[in-house]
Amino acid sequence: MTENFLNTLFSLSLTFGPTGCEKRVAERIEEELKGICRCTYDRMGNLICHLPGHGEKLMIAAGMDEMGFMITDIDDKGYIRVAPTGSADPACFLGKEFTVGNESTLTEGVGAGKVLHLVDRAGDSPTFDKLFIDVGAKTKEDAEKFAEKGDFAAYRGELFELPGDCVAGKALESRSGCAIVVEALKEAAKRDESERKDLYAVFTVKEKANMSGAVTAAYNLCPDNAILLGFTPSMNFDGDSANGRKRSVIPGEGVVLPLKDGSVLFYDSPFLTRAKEKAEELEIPFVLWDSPVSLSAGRAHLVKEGLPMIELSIPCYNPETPLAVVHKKDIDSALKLLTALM
Amino acid sequence: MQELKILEELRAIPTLTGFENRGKKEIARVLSPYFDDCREAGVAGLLFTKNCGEKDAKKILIDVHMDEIGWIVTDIEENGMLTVSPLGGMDPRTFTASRYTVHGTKDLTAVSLKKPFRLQSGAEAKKLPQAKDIVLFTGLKKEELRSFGVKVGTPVSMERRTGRMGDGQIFGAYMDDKSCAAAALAALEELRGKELSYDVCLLLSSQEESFGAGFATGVFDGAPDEILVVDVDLGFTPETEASKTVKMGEGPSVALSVQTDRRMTKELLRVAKERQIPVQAAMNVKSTGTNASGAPFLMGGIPTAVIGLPLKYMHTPVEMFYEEDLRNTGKLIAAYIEEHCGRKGESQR
Repeated sequence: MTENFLNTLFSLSLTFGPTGCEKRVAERIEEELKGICRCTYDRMGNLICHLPGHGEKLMIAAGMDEMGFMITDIDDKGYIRVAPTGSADPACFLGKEFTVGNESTLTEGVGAGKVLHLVDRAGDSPTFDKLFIDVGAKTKEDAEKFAEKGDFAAYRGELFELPGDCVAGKALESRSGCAIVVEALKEAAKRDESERKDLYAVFTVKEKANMSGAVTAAYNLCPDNAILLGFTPSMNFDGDSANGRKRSVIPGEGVVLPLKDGSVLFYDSPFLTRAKEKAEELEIPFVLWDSPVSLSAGRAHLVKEGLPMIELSIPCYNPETPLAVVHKKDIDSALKLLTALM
Repeated sequence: MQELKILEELRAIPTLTGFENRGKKEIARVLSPYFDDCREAGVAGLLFTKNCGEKDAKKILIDVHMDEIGWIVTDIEENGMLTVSPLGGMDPRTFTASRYTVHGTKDLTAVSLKKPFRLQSGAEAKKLPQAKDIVLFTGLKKEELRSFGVKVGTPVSMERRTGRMGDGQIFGAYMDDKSCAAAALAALEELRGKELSYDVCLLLSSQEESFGAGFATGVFDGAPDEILVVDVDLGFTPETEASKTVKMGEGPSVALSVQTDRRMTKELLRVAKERQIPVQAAMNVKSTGTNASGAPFLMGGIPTAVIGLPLKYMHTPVEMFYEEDLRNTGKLIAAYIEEHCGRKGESQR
């Protein structure tokens, strides 16, 4: 992984962009692709980057949004109540740092709830209506300088590297995909038009709310084929340690080509066979896997008469938390394969 | 503010409950310059003394616990994942996707891993995760971990980041109870140049977060005439009962409890009023939930009071307090000592 690519990944992941408030991420991507391809927005806020080429019209889609929360109330003391916009874990809120705000203003906060000494530690997780964010405000007006009802919050955190080529931090399960597509476009732009496909990269909004822009973009663009970037949770620690851990994809073993995900069967698709053969030819590490996650592919492959597609999925620990962990090698593998398929 | 710098230095030293001996030397290095004497006391404790200059002077002891909550490694699995067991009252609401430091021969960053919420079944998703539901991931292989001295029994602590927020609030892990050590030093600063007839001791006690071995044994070593236990107090926030908490930003609390000495608590409140130091009563009727719970049984009984620094989100990585409250906690300790252990105002017993 080049240093530039790693910087792009870090910068994209750190950008505030919860579901429904992806504008900052889109602008960051536009900056990255300045002078490389033509960037436009559709009516939904999806960023569409066209790199003209020859033959097959290929759509590549990556979700821009990170796990987010919408502000539902700010009380007299300035404490902020939120509700998740996706399937956020209520056990992953208290003691976490947050960024709170909107497209123009941001502030920091911490997630909080009832005092520990009054909690049943062996009981249920708190529900979101019992949790809140403290931005250090003393009054409602204090807090409203930064955000109001309907604005957003997302996990805040540093990105850092771990030994063994892993990277940890927020939003990595989705922004890895964005960074891979950005880098692949930069690579493809170096080639002659005749040596690449007609490429439409779509950076989509609201992926995590299952209202993905991939669906509307597929409708508008009518591509021949599509490649979706996604993640596969790694759980080689799950299960009873005494009786052996369950099988799982493991970060570092390669890019995942899902045989199926939570809602689409890819296994008999000629496009998957093509991708697999390409990976074998170029000796790119890959894993065929039954991915349990269901995101935009479910709806996007049903657009119009049906859209042939594959997923390039990154193995990931702790997806949709402030500390997702991905492996640089897998990101490199995905980038290589995507570049080859372009 | 000097005491905030000391607080940062103290918080950077890992002193997990039961592992205080590993950090004692460093703690002594930070605090010794402010005292005439520093020695080991009781079980893994440190006793600092500021002499008043009189022979066989009486002693007032300020107790602050130095130990911290965390994890202890219970196993290293084949794939390098660490299983852990809690040291002290870890909050299961913080177990998911948190950053920790594994204290091997070198400090290693670790991330707690849990089955993703998206893939948990309904019943599973509803329950708070327990220690058995997580592993710690360092990126290192089993053999590599061994070479860094990580083994069963290695302590692990929460990330030690410091943040500032709003109007004079500070947050981070392990403000409990090191912020109170900083308050005690602020008190000493206030007392500088004042003539006292008591020696002032500061006990950095061990194991408050577990079984409390450090307080009783440390007090025995110090043999004081009075004790001020200074510990963080539960601050009021939403989802919390006002009657069981104290207010943030409104000064230190003084515990009113059957465990504390009525003369001392009344005097603390009076002195605060007289000197216009904001103060509030904490109604800990049956128990203060601090080291003071053991005081009535020590060495024939030693009069003890509890001063609390209001703190939000106790036992999380974002424990938060007002700088102003810390300063006023220092002032209250100093005011009490000046009035009762000064040349003119000998404690009247």
